[in-house]
Amino acid sequence: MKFRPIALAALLTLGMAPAVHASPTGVWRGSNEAWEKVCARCHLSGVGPELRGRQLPPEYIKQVVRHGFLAMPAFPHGAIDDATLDGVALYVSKSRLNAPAKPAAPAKKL
Amino acid sequence: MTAQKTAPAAASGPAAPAILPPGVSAGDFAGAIREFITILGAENVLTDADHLAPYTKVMVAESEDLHRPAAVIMARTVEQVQKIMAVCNRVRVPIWPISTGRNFGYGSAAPQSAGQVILDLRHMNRILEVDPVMCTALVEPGVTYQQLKDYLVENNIPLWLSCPAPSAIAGPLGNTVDRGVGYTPYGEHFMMQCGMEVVLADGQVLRTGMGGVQNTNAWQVFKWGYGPYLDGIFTQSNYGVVTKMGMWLMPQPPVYKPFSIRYEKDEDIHDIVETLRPLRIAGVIPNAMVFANVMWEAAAIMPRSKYYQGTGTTPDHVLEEIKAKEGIGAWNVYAALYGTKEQVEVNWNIITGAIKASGKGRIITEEEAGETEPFKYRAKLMRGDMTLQEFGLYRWRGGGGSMWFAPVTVAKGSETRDQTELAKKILGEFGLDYVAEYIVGMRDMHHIIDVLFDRSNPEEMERAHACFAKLLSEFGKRGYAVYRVNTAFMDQTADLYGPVKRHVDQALKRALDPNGIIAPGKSGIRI
Ligand SMILES: Cc1cc2nc3c(=O)[nH]c(=O)nc-3n(C[C@H](O)[C@H](O)[C@H](O)COP(=O)(O)OP(=O)(O)OC[C@H]3O[C@@H](n4cnc5c(N)ncnc54)[C@H](O)[C@@H]3O)c2cc1C
Repeated sequence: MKFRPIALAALLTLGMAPAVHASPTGVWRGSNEAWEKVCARCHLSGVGPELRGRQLPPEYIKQVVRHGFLAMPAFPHGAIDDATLDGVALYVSKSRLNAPAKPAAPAKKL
Repeated sequence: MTAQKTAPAAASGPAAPAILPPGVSAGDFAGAIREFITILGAENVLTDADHLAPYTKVMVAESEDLHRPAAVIMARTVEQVQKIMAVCNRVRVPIWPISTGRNFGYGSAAPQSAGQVILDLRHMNRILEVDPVMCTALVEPGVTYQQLKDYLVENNIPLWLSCPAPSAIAGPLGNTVDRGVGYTPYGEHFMMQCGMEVVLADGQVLRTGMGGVQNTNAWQVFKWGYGPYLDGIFTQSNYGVVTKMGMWLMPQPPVYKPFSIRYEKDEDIHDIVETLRPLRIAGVIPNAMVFANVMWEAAAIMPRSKYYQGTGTTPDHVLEEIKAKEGIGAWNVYAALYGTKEQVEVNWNIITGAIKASGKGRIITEEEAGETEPFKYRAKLMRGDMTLQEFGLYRWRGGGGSMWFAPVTVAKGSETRDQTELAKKILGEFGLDYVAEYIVGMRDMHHIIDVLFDRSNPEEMERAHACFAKLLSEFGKRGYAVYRVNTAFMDQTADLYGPVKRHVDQALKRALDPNGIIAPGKSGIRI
């Protein structure tokens, strides 16, 4: 049995406002997914700095995502389109920090 | 960079490029850009500083100016790639193809030399086929591991991937054509690749292996096809643009048992290799296991400033303190067993027996490790799961500089001892750290050293560059060479492989791409 080809790109951009010169295909179902599957892997694990609850300006966040910053990789439009990034930046900017970021548990002494 | 940028391109027309391809006039390049727009649409031809910025960020110890692209173009179809080739041949515009463009520490997305046009294939992101019976997949360049993983999970297909450490954002095609590695039994990715589609510089579309046979259904199951086997010449090379790749996937085993073995002393690396090599060659340990040193382990969980605020090489007494307080070994083995309960049990007994007989090494099971890092992310990698935890390496010293120095090692204890001593000595001369792991292949090991430095400090960047050059030459004198290298050191590395190899590489280049339009300088190859 073979599975039909899937064109994620075609399915996932629905509902996103087209931005000038933005990457026309989103690869994300929404900003939440991009946050969870990329950003959060470093920024909620202590690998990257805690961003929540700091009211970071969305423009600043977008700038760092596009340009990278030291260890933070730069993300081109093909990896995250403007509409999705807008959503991520807004989410991070407005987020509250209930519990401090959980740094990776250190290895147990065994 | 943003300060000097021109206004972002709008639908009205592209921004004037900041730099031109070498030897191409502004007028000719503007003409090429117009043709790219006709082929791809204006939204897929990027020339303004804002859109080029993400492709310009590098981690290597050289100015980004040496790797600045003239433009970025994004194709979606094979036909578009063919048309791009025609324009590039006519105007002599060099293009640097990338798939997902996450080649961190090897040059990131940026070209080997300034003025090339990046051909970004991220939008060619269809998973064309997954065959759960034959356990194969056929993917386009822009497919990420995350996308493929999601597809398998959502469709309930019990197959596993093998991924490099930044699995969540990298992709199988780009990783495999650069001959990258992962950590499962399928960890040698190029070995598990089967069939390619390649757009050649003259616009022809080649299908390798069985792919040229009309109506074949064996493209993804038989690697060699007939006559000369060609897939290899499209890896780490610039002979074509790969637009499809077949790969084998691993059936999810009923039982998965990751484990770690902790060793206390630096010199234990000798006995680790001697104890475990026979088990790897015999297939008792089936995966690309890893021997990670104390700093690699520590970096995954904390910055070094927790124990050391100084600069330069981390002193040995600090490493001893970290080992004692954080419970990290001098060397830490990560391996796994896969199979039925019975199979895993038999192999587990063989392994524990061998460790016991060797008189050193402390085994840590998943149950003992619990939720702790780095065990958790290692266990994810050994089953091809998504993680970015290893980015912790960049927090160790900070500053975002990284170049992988990755010499091939014969899997012999004596050789690992020599290479480790030599690397530590040279890194020490330059005030840098020996942050290392060995990834165990079928007979070889990739000795992966992350040459970490502060890229925001010009003096340290210069030092890191000199250090890397010395690592290459001193290792070279002893018969050791790297399996892959960053864009700053491709020529020096090509020299290590000898003049005849360079000549043959060039002869192939001249035959397949006589105008030298595809990725000039990749692996030191030019017309
Ligand atoms: C913390 C960390 C850990 C890492 N661990 C690993 C690891 O375990 N294993 C590993 O292998 N790497 C590792 N890397 C290095 C690198 O990030 C990965 O190899 C990554 O998979 C490469 O990026 P990519 O998959 O996006 O490929 P790309 O960047 O798209 O491609 C890599 C190169 O292949 C060539 N290429 C790409 N597409 C094509 C094409 N269609 N046609 C012709 N040529 C093409 C280009 O020269 C390109 O530069 C690590 C990096 C980091 C930061």
